[in-house]
Amino acid sequence: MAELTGEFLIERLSSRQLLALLFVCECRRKKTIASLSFQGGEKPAAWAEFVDRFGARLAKLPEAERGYLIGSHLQSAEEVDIYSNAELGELLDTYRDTLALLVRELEQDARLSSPA
Amino acid sequence: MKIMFVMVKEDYIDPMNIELLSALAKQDGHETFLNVLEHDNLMEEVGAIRPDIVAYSAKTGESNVMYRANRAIKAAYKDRIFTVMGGPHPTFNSMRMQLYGEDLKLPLTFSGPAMPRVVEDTQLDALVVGEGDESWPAMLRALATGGSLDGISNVVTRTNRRADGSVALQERNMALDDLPYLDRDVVYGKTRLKEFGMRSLMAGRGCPFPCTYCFNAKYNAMYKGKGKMLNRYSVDRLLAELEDMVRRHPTQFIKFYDDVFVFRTDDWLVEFADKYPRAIGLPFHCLVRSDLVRRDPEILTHLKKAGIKSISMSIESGNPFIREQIFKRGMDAEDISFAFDLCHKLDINTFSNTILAVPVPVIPDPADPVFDQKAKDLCSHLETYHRMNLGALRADVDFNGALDHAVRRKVVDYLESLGLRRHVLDYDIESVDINIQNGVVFGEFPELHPYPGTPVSQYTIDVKAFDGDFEKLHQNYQTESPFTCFTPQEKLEQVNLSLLGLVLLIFPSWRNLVVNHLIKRRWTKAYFVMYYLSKAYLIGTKIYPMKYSAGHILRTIKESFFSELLKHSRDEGEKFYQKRKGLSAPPSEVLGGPWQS
Repeated sequence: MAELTGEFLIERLSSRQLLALLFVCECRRKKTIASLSFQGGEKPAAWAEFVDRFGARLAKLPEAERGYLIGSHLQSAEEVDIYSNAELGELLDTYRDTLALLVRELEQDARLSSPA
Repeated sequence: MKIMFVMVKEDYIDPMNIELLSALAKQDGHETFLNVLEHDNLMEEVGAIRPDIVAYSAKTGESNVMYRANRAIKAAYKDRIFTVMGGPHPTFNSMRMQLYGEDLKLPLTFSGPAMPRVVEDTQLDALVVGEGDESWPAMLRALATGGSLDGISNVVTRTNRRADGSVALQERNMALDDLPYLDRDVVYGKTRLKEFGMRSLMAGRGCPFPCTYCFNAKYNAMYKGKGKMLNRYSVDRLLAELEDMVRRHPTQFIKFYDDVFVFRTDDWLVEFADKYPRAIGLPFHCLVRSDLVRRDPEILTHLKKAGIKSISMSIESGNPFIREQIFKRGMDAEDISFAFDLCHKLDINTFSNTILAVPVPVIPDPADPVFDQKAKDLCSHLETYHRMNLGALRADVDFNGALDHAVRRKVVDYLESLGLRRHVLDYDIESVDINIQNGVVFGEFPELHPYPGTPVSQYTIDVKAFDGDFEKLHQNYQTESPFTCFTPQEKLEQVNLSLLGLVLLIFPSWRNLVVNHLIKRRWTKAYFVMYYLSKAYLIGTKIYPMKYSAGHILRTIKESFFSELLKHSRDEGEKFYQKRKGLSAPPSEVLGGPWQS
């Protein structure tokens, strides 16, 4: 999953990008994506809760396994066909700015820096 | 054409594989039959029916029994009967299964260095790998018209086999609604399932989670890019089949056997919860994951509304190191606790599987004269094999110098914080404890057994606990551990705990007596009786409650007692083959006998 080469777009995404995408998909499903805002330094409660929940699970896993686990949730709870480059590409395009912002947030989170 | 399916023995779960393949065959006008090796005379039935095709759907372990049956058929009928095997065993093992009359010249390079370079002499004519929804009917059409099988996806023959072991796979079937209803008649005509009130069905297919003891990770890798992983029947199609089933077969309880029945609250679940009580209205059981419930608790609310009676949520291990680093479960103790609590609040009885006897490193004793070296080796193993970051420990402890008592204590504490324990049995006791703490109603505690295609099998080979010879495995996973890393006493305690773990769910106050004393005794037979009584009580009253006549109950007790006894017996192969009439091979110590025979 961490490899940057591969037939599938999913295989070129880092675990942080995947986690951000999972959050976006969850918000989309719960129809809260429009109200998501990080303005004024405030972090949405849903985001903090989401990162707490997944941070604990992912902290001890190596990068590749983090990607696999997040991919499992994308495929199941969010019903994303992660091996469909067209479907995934459309999601990444649609939420490009939000995803970039979330990835920056995750890059500052020590839990997701390196395992254990 | 006439098609005879062969299964090794019957269970209380519908063999949905055979029921679907039979339905697909009948849809094209073929006749189907079933032989149950456990109680039917194979060669007499083959002689009487004269099938054109004999078909097996094999799991590893029972595949040996089927090879033996197939060799007997081929010896008598040669090319007059076409034989084919599908199911998990050929799906993950096709590379080293020799077909009938085939001179197998394949590069025998397998994934692990310890993997035995053996080829199974199957005497089969073809294998079906992966889903057979389309390839099975296509194969039947080709055989009926004398056509070639070589261009049919998922089918491996002597002439289309590829040297690299790859198989041309069809896309996943994403149109489950188009499948025919399961043909239960072919099975119920020959088994006790006809009288049994619980019927099994799957609402969909697929599981994306990477649990290492399961075949799904490898299966999903095989099917990467070949269609959506999760596919379900529409609610209306599912209910229509259930209505038909209930009308035709006495049914009191339904078991949805999907790996994960629901992943989230979605339109499908809402519709199911609305329509199922009116259309079917029978209590049911299904499987879900604790982490998904915690993420979306409404799942349980909807299932409750639909009429769920009991639910499976596997814990698999109470120990965080095993759960995360070895099994890759991706869920923590809080997920488990949240989900079980919610089930209790909603009055949904819980069923959990927890795997014991996992080969796992132990923390050395601080008083051990070679503690320093053992701790150093263990830390290296965690870093290199499990890719764990022990930077915090490395910053504090210099393993190149002698460690004093305080530093040793620090090392032990650190390793314990990662979930490592000092004794092998500590892991298993921790697993039983988490079941007790979460108030699990019914729990099974099988010991880990390796199967081809599962990452945990490779792990057990890598840590030198298993030599990779799957052919010697017992069919059941409720017997003594096959791993060489455990002492005979540890194996005894694992077996005893796997039996008494269930008893503790009824009598949790016995916990200290059991873990400190009883598991150390050679009273396994007495523990088996306690296990059986506990299981019969909990299954019959809490998990799959059904009403039967006194005569039926007595008959079921007798059958299930001996079935359970065989499951927990190392001698199952002997006892099984003492009943064989049509197969002349002598009994052996392994179910099905050595594959070479």
